[in-house]
Amino acid sequence: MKYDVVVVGAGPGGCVAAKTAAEKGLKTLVIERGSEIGDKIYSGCGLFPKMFRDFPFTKEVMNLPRTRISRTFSFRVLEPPPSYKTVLNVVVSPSKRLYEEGRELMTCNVYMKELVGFLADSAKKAGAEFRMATLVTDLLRKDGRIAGVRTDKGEEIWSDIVIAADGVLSLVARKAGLRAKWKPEEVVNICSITFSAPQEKMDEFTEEHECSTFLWVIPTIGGWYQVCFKDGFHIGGLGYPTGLISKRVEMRRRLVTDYLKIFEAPAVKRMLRRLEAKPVEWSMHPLTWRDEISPNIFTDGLMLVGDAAGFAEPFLASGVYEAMYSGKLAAEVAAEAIEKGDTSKNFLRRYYDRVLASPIGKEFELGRELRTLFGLFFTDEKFFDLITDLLNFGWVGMSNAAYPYIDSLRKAVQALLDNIPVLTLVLRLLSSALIASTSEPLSNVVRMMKAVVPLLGGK
Amino acid sequence: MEITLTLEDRRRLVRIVESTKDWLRVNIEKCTGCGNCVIACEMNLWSIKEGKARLSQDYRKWCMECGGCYISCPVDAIEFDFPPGGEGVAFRYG
Repeated sequence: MKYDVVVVGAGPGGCVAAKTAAEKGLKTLVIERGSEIGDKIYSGCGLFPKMFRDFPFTKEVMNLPRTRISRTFSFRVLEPPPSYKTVLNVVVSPSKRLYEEGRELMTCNVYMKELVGFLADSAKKAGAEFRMATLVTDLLRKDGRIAGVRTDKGEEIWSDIVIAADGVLSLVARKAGLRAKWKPEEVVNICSITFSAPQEKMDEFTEEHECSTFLWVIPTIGGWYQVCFKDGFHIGGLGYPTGLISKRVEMRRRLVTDYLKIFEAPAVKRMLRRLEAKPVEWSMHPLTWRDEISPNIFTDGLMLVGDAAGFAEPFLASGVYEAMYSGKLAAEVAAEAIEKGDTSKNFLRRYYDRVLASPIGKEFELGRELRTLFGLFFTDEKFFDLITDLLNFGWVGMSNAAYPYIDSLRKAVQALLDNIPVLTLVLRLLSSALIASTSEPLSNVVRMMKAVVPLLGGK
Repeated sequence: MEITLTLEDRRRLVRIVESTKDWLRVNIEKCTGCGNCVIACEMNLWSIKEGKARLSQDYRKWCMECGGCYISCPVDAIEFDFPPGGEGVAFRYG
């Protein structure tokens, strides 16, 4: 049995690779170890507008029966236990100046299984074949090149190119000798619960908040994302710090214990009660959280895409778009390689080059620094004090009604003035670091913020 | 409303097709008994016995394939393949 392209794994990366390859006229087979599409994938998923811009065919996902669109984004910070008091609760929609399209759509929330089901159907329509419930156990080699796969059914399936989209724990990457495994400081486990809730309750709740996507943060413990669908929602959490496998084993902390803390917060308890929410599924799943793009993502006859290549972007560790984008790039390079009759490592290097030049590469330009910054926001109470103070300055500060308004206003304005020199310095450095777009200035800003933030807001 | 994830809840809230073959194992020679796998596994499938990691007999029934044990092992003593096709975890919502 011989194909032009064999794709291992029917997740977002594999399906888009297969769709692209089939559209280019290549005989394409996808091999998936789950019995059904989506069996092995988890993560209630909020798709950003860049998805619909770069993959217009996915617009149909917005019309799936259980999809819910959020045109705002809510950010809520709670004090660490035992108080769990809300210290910040904002719903954000971007200004016209910053991001006009975001006023219509910040995220499109879809069950992961439905998303990959849709993507697999698109690949099938384009002509790709699918083989389900089949595990790829090894690679076939011919003249020193990877030239196909062996399955657990004992079949040998030959192909000019193999595209491996088999996830964080990629067996293909290991069999190809591209790497042993990701390091514990490069992988997070995410714990999630999917809740079901009556649609009318979900409608009422999301209409009242004008929001369907929430980020909950408890400084020093971590962050949780909540994406609401038509008939339920998904709360997943604790990427950083305790989700990071290296941190977890170092601190001897159990992920589930920390994850569950969000459900002790009165605000969350009230929400669950109001929504009549019931847990229907839970999961632990791994994500890569890396700060640079590995060059070991291609070899003779093989390219790695998505999580198998470690492409989840370094700021939030979201990887669906990155998987799809890299799947598309890999399939395009596969078509060119097959046309030229050259599937060597040397030829396939252009896949790596194109990844670096793509939006994926852009995300990683300042990967290490963004990851550090994000880590600070989630772990350092002083950063949250700063944000809270900033929001309390001015009108809100004046309206606390603890003092005559004119006195409150004086205090708020004075506090703001006190902090302006430091804030100006931070913003000036941050802005020049971002314009320079190299990692060193941004590292310096992060280091400086660590030093100065404890001095802020303490007057 | 109380949200718990007791071991019983964790087992109830996920669908796993028991695998028919072994696909996860520990190399006792390499294992140093550090216990990272015990912390990493939320299905409580690992324990330390006589200074070495021991994998529960039940893992083919309850492992979620998160790879926490495999990634966290500092001496690469854990061999992690995947369950045979069509077996193992099968999420319903994802």
